[in-house]
Amino acid sequence: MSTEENARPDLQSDQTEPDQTPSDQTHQSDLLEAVPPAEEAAKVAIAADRLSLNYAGRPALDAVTLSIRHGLVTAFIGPSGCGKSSLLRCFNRLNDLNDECELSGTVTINGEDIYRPDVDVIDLRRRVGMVFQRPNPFPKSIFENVAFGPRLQGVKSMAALEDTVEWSLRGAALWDEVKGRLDRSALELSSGQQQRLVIARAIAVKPEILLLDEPCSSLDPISTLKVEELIHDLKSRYTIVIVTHNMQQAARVSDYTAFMNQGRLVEYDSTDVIFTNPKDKQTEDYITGRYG
Amino acid sequence: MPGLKVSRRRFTPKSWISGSWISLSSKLATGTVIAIIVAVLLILLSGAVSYFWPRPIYEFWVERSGEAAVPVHGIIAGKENAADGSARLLIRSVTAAGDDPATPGTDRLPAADYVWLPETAVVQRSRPHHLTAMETRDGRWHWGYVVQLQVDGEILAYTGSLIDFSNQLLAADCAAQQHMINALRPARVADACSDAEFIDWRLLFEDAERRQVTVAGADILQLMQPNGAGLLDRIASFATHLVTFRSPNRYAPHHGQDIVAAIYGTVLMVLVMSLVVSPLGGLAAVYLHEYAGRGWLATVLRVAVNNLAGVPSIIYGVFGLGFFIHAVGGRFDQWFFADKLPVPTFGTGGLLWAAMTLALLTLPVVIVATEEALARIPRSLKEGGYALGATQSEAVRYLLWPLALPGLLTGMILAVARAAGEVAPLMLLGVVKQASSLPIDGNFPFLHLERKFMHLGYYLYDLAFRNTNLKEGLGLLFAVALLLVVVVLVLNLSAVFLRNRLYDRYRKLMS
Amino acid sequence: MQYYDRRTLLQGSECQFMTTPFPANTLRSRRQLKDRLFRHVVRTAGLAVLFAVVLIFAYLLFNAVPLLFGSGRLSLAGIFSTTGAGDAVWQPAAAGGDISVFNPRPLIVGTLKASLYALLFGVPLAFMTAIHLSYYASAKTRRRLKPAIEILEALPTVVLGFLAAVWLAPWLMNHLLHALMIGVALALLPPLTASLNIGRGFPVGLMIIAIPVAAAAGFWAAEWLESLLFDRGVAYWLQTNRVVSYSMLNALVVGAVLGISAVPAMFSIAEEALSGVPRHLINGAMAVGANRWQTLSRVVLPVAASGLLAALLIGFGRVAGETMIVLMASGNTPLSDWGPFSGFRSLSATLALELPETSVNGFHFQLLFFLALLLFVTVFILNSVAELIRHRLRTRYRAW
Repeated sequence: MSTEENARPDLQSDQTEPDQTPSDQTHQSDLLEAVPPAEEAAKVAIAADRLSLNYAGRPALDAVTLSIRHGLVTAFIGPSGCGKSSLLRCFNRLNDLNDECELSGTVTINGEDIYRPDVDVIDLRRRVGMVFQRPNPFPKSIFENVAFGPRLQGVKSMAALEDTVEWSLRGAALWDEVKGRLDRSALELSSGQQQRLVIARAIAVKPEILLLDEPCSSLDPISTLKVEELIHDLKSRYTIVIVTHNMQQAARVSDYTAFMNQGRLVEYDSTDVIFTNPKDKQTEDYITGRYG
Repeated sequence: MPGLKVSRRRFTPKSWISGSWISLSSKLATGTVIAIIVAVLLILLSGAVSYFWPRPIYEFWVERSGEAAVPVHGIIAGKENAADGSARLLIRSVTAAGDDPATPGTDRLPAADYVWLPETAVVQRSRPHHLTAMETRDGRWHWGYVVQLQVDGEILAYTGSLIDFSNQLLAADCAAQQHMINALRPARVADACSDAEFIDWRLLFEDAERRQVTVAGADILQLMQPNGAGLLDRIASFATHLVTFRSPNRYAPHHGQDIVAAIYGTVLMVLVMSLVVSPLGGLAAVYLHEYAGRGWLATVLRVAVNNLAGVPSIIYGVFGLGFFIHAVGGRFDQWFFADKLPVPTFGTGGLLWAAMTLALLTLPVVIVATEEALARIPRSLKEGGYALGATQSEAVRYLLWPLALPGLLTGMILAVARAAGEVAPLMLLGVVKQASSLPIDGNFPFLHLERKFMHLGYYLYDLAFRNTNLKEGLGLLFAVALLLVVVVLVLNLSAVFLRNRLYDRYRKLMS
Repeated sequence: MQYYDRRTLLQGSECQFMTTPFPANTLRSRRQLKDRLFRHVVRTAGLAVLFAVVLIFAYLLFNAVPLLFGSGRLSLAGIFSTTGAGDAVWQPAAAGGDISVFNPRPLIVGTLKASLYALLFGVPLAFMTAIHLSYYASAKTRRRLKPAIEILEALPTVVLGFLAAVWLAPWLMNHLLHALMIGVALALLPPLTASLNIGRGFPVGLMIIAIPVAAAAGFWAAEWLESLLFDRGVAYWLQTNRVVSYSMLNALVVGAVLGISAVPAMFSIAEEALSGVPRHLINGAMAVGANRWQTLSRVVLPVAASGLLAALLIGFGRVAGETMIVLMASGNTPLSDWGPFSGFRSLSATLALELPETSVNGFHFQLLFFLALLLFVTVFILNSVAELIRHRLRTRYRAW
């Protein structure tokens, strides 16, 4: 490989065996060491390289480099304000909406730099879906909420929309609860149901990656459980990144965990390792509750 | 607790500037302001009410320059202290006081008019119960006595009291009773009868000069004996007047036409104005909120909108006159109506230019109201849309706009309220006291934007200027003013109500 | 409808890995075209509004330009000079080419006079009410009374002008003494009640009784005085005496009603300034033992002073540009007299009355446009300064 290519972890999508990366990508191979060989090929869905972010001069992310695996659940944990949500929002370019945001470094999804000036952001955002901390259903009917995305894509036929709405709601484990009242306002649902509705809305446009920004933090324990179950089901179909400040949730749900503190990526490893045998002292302090 | 000073209040000069004085003065100021608001509304109300409330008719015995006293029937319309200190009464009466002779040889009664009577000339005044007021089809009033009543040629017994008579009719089950009651009972106007119900009845009316005239029942709009009327009858009469105030009826097609035309003109102009101002204002607000960002353009635009709001309304009129009427309208005429020149079509004041100028005037109101609504929409909604892959315009059109629409509506209502009351610029833009034709009629293109129009506020202004101490004419002014105030207040209150409903909806969104 | 099993959904379908790259944004898809179109439409609307403001100013300027740069009689200096005929006079009807009758001084004096008298009436009312509602009143009172005051704002000025001309002016002429005595009685009310130690702590509702009582007292005092001093009544004396020349439509009437019409605008800005004074300053003052009055006079008012100034400027701008009230109640006589009992003619009234009748682009026309420009610029400056002050205040308070 040329030196240029060495400079960036530019993994091709058609590789089917563990990476044979050049030796100077040392941290890269560190990451891959933990992958059990039985695991499917470690395809990388999202790769961030020396990503730094500033909000009007205030640094939010500092040279973050990591790779999110395809088909797995990756969790971001860390004390509040450490930049987890900011990092997440870099992945679907939602930070573009903020005028005061300055970004340096690269984010590649499927090997493509998404901050290239000619990238179709609209399509990017469709394929990288996001669910927010507080459920934000539109003030429309349940049906219209889920059909919103497909409608934008140009789906006009009622039959197709109904189909889509049904399997989205089923996929989000909400169908049985709302199938009789699809035209009632989405705001009438409980917050747990609303959050699942938002998830249904997100999967209705057939994304490839799902970004979940503290999806359960405003939900009651039962709804939380339901959502976690849902994540488990969705995992085989989507790549999921979940930000959470609930460590137990991260331990329950994710395969890989990244611990961040003050804008820096401190440690990134498989969840078992992070929670039983963390390599970094900061990680250990956080896990054991010394601060948070 | 020992040691704490206990203040002892004494009347010292210092207490004049002490805190309690300021506190009380401020209370006084607040009370005064509220009192003024209440007073304004009460004055308008009382003035308007007095216009509709039935007044007693007087029988004056007037002595003029040594002659014997002559009777005069009429109502008191005003009172004045003349320059030399003497008082004189303004009386609305048949001009039987001798100033204008009635047209001789006709069977018609002379019209009622206003006449000044020095108070010293009035020897006696009384309010006989049987003194009758009659309004005929031509809108005129007459005062006198009903001497005789005939139904189908048959002379009926008549004691002098019409109320008694109508009661008699009721008891007698006479065929004429329905119609008679319609005429006698102040609450029923003859308009309610169809032609088929008309029965030939007539009365013999005698005025103060003992002239007798036969008046056909079909020509009578109202018959009243207010001097003996009880409170209920007065209230009924008041209600009738109120209800028929704005509406022309079959027999008096000109009754209230001015006001109808003024209302028409106001409504049409406001409609055209809304058509212009709402898209422009709504889109500009969307631009300010969504697209303009924080750059210099946004700041300049906000400053511009704020300044638009502070410009005196007459300046808008000046601008409209110069720009819309002369510059643009003149060009229009040269391009499209050159055959009619030099008579201007669009190059003079008219509905279109007035509406466009007022649209400019009320633009800030609409922009601010819409922006307010937009600003209350939580960001998470927009982000949810973007996260699904919506373009900016799709997020605005499908998510933000439906929620901002009530704000736009609020702004429009406030704009309409403002335009209904704003007169100054219209004076330069084509409003007239009397329009020969309405801007909407049956001829193509149905809506004539170049025509001059009437406006309720201008109507009030013009009436006030024409007013000459006429206490009775004043009543109409108060009624019009009250109408205008009621319309404006209702609009404002509904805008506030709408805004509060908006806030409630947003709170539900956030929860 | 086919039955979808969640399990089959999630396991049976292909696990789609991103085989297609993100399309470059070179596609002119319909959605993007619509987006761009919408953005242009919206931006046009925004710019149109900006354009309108500029246009107004530019058009006024354009029409007044020949005057500004003319020379001799037809120039700015020319019209302001007075001829040997004496006083500055504005009498367009008498113009037969004689320009000396176009001196705008009486109009400018008229506008300033109206503004002055209006502010004289309006500012104390507005400021004192603002002080009461923002500082002394309970939250409940404030919530109830603030909207009530805003109702005044909604009243059309033509109605106020009508009341001024048709009701207030005749009443004042017949009852000048009464008005004076009522005013005196109301002014005496606070000191009297203060010294008698009543009224403090009573709600504003007390005013429902207090004001009519004071007004009645003033009324009776006036009746007594009138019968004592004027045997034929005040109105007669006003019309026939040689000391004071009284016209029914005068500055006093206009000032009162005009001032009242400006109260809501001034009140809201003053109230905003006063309640914007940071709470901790007030608490700090009270903590060192200042009573309510001292806190008000030494802390609140000085801090809010610039906001009160802004309110004053805005009020000035509003009354200077007001047309209908002045038109109906001032008599429209172009005099250069500052007295309260004489009429006047303001710039705005002149514009309303004379513009429809002048020939386009004649000298008179240009002069009227110049006067309109003058009015516009004055009000613009007043409003801009006031906005600047308010903006500075808002940023200052945020820092605190």
